[in-house]
Amino acid sequence: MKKVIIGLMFLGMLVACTRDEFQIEDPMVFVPETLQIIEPVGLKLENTFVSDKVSVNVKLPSDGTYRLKIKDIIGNLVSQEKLSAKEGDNILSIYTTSLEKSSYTVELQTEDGILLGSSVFVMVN
Amino acid sequence: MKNLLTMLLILVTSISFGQDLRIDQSIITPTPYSVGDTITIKFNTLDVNSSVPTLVQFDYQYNNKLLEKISHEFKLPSNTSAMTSLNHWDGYSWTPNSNVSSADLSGQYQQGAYGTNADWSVERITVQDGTPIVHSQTIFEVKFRIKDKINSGYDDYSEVTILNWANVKDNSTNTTYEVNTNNRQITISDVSGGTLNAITFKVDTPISDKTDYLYVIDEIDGVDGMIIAQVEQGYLDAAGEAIVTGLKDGTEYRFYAYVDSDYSDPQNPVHPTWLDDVVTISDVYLVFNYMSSTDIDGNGTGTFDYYIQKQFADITQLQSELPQEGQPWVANVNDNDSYVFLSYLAGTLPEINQETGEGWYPITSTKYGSMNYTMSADKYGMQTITSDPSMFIPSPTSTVFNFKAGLNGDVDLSHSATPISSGYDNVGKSARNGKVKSASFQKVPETSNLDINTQLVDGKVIMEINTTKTGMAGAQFNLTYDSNILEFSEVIFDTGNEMTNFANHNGGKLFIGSLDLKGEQTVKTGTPYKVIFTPKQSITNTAGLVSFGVKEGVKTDGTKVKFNIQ
Repeated sequence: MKKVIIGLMFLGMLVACTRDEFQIEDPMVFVPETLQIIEPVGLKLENTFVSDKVSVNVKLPSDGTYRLKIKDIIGNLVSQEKLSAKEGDNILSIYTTSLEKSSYTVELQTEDGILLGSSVFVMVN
Repeated sequence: MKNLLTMLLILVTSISFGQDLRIDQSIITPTPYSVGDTITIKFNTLDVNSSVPTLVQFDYQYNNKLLEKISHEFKLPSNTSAMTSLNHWDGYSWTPNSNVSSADLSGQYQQGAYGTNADWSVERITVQDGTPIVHSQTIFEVKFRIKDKINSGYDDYSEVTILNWANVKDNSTNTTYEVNTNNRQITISDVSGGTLNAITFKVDTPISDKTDYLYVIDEIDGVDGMIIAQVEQGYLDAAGEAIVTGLKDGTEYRFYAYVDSDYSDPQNPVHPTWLDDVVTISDVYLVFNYMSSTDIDGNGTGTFDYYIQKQFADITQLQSELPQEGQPWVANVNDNDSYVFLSYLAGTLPEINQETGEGWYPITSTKYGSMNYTMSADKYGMQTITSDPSMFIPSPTSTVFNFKAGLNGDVDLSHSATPISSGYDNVGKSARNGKVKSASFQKVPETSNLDINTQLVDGKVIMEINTTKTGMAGAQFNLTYDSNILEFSEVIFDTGNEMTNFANHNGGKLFIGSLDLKGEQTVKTGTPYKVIFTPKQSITNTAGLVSFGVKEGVKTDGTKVKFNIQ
């Protein structure tokens, strides 16, 4: 009986000294209805008409590095961001003040150049 | 078997005609048509399958050699609060994706591609509303003037406008519609009239913004060349042409054209932003090469392919010595020119004294404005011109006049017409001098891939320029950044020990680059330039905060390198 009690005490000490483990989960990304993407991956702009910036949802297949490319009418790259982002929805911004007033295509690509989504926007005053 | 065939037929029919709406274009101006007539083309949607679009976006293109755009107007009588936008580009045409029917406009969206083509102009129409955009109403009308097809390169007026693609959605349900058209092209038949109705002026310039050129026609005294009266002025069309009526047979006129600027505030004129793309590192490098040998007076004795390059390189003449009313000037390129060019790129030239004009240089740019050089095509760039190079006399047999336009400082003729010949009086002057480096240039630049990107790193916005291109004596990058959000901090150069680096920073614009004045050292590969910005406000990412303009290099032999950003 004594051995059992000692054993239980030892076990109790072990349990008591075990470090608590917390499951840290990524905070939920709130996705406005206008930016929701049904498909597993893609890109969606909040609005086709843009003044100085527009919100964009980039929905990614996995954590990693991606490219957000802004292209002119003939596909010339006029601005590019190298982006580290997480799997799922990522609500970001596209700023347009540095661009000449025109219409552009924004593309989401992997580092290997695989196109994951694109959309056209037009700039307004 | 019969049932199977019937089902297949139904299936094929469904696939072929699987569409929700059509976009229709049509001429609403009744026939007959003559050269110079104005026609109106309207665009509207036609419902096929109960579609309720809230976003209608489509591209069309028109042949600017055959049509001159006059105006446009959004109509939308049933969607009066809709947001509308028109974007316009000159010099491009659409190549549809050959795997998709060209009439399948939604299928072509982001599938085909645009390429450069001076004969075509593209317009993007975008309409968005909170309520469905009503079908069958006129969305948009555009007016064109029919141009004379003589010397246009076209035999008829077929396919003068073409629908390229469409992107039509119901944003409230995130529904994308399938869009077709039954009128992809518009052809105008039986156009009468022609050469005698109007005088056509064709201005040869390689720039895409040809409508930035303002032309003026003066009637002149045939004896002393003095101006009697200005009889016409206007902007060139997208093809760089102007059609003018009312000129008198046998009368002497002078035609000139220049890049227009806004002088509402004379102390702070507003010039087209593309002027800063005219003079770049490759121009400066050509001048330094030209100056690699000199005569006893210190004037350069290098070689240029065209005499006009020498004129464009001569930027330190006194303003009073510059040509008046289109008359040519004697070019003399020396060390002052080369170092003023370099100082211009580096942003170290003094500010202009508005009272005395001191500190002003005829370098085409937003700082100094455009320095225009427009002449009849056969006189443009000639060393010796014995008659007024801008004068013309219209007659029933002389109805088309050809001119060429250039911009001072544009030594590599990137934004200037190429003369019809070298222009030198003596062929020997343009011959290669074996003792000096050639200041020649190749009109077809090399292209090289380049990686430029921005990243948010430890609260800073870092822009890296990465290149593997070897053999470059110089490189230049013109950047524009959002100065409301970013503050420029520094450029970290890793171009090599011998290079002359510059970073010219001015109000949201940043010109950075390098040049080895002797053309002996080359820009290091890797990451020769790293630009650091400090955000003025909290940002989550950097997309669009920095945009890339000029991005070019120059090889030691003077060949321009155009970077293709990946």
